[in-house]
Amino acid sequence: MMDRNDTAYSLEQSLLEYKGQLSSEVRIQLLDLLNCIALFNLGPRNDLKKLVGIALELLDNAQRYNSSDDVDFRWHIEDTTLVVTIRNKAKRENAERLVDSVRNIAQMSPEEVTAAFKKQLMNNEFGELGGAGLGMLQIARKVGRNITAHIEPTLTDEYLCTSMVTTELDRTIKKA
Amino acid sequence: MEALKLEATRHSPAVDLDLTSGTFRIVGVSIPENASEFYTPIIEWIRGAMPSIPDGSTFSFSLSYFNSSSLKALYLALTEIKAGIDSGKKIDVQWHVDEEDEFMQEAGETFSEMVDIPLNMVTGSL
Repeated sequence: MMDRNDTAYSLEQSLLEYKGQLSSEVRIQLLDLLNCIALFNLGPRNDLKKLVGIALELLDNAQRYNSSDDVDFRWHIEDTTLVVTIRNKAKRENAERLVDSVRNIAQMSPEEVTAAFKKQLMNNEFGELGGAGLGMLQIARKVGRNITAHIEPTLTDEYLCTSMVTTELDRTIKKA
Repeated sequence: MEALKLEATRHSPAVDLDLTSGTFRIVGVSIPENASEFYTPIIEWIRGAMPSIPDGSTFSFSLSYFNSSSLKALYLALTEIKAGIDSGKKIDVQWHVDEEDEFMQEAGETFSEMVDIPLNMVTGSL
């Protein structure tokens, strides 16, 4: 289907931006589209699901905790870097939990991330909205700790949350 | 015990847990918004049915994609199967992975290590 050399993607960009309501159906359509975009812009690679998984976890979080209005989602590959960003409003407690989670992960070694992931996986507890508390840890485990989260108060009692994950695309990854 | 059968949707897998036919499988995409809500009946079914599951049975998991909350739910389902194995049941657990699917391969290895259960990695999806 494709005839690409190993460095073809290094000169290319791809971009997907979405602003609007986030439902389960929208989330699935975005993931389908991202799978297609990733495949055709990066070529077949063993880590495509891992890369699209970043978006999946961010979209999951946004859908679960988004308190109102639209979300802003952006997937961007430029040169050899993938940047995934999502912006949504959330209640203060959820916004602060997001920031705490990302701050804690940033201070962990890779081994500590793995240990925290395993501990969270095994605690048998789900959040009130069905979250497992694993999303950011899963991202950190899979693509490193290049995760940021910023929150800012709005005129209502909500907070605007911006989460961003960047990861260098591995040029040496085995092609599928 | 009554079978638990759920049709696959765009965000949840097909579930076929049936003592009569001896079929125990979860197949498809698993990215429900609320994995706890989706998987709790499945976990409870496995727990309740375990005494009646015959030796030599196979549980098959063939998932093309799942989110991290499904990961935890699948972990809990596997711990129920592990409890059955620990009580003396002879159960095979098959984890289907498409060739070159690094994500699912790693997930299978993680489960195998964390649940301490021998997952039989099978190439190709159901």
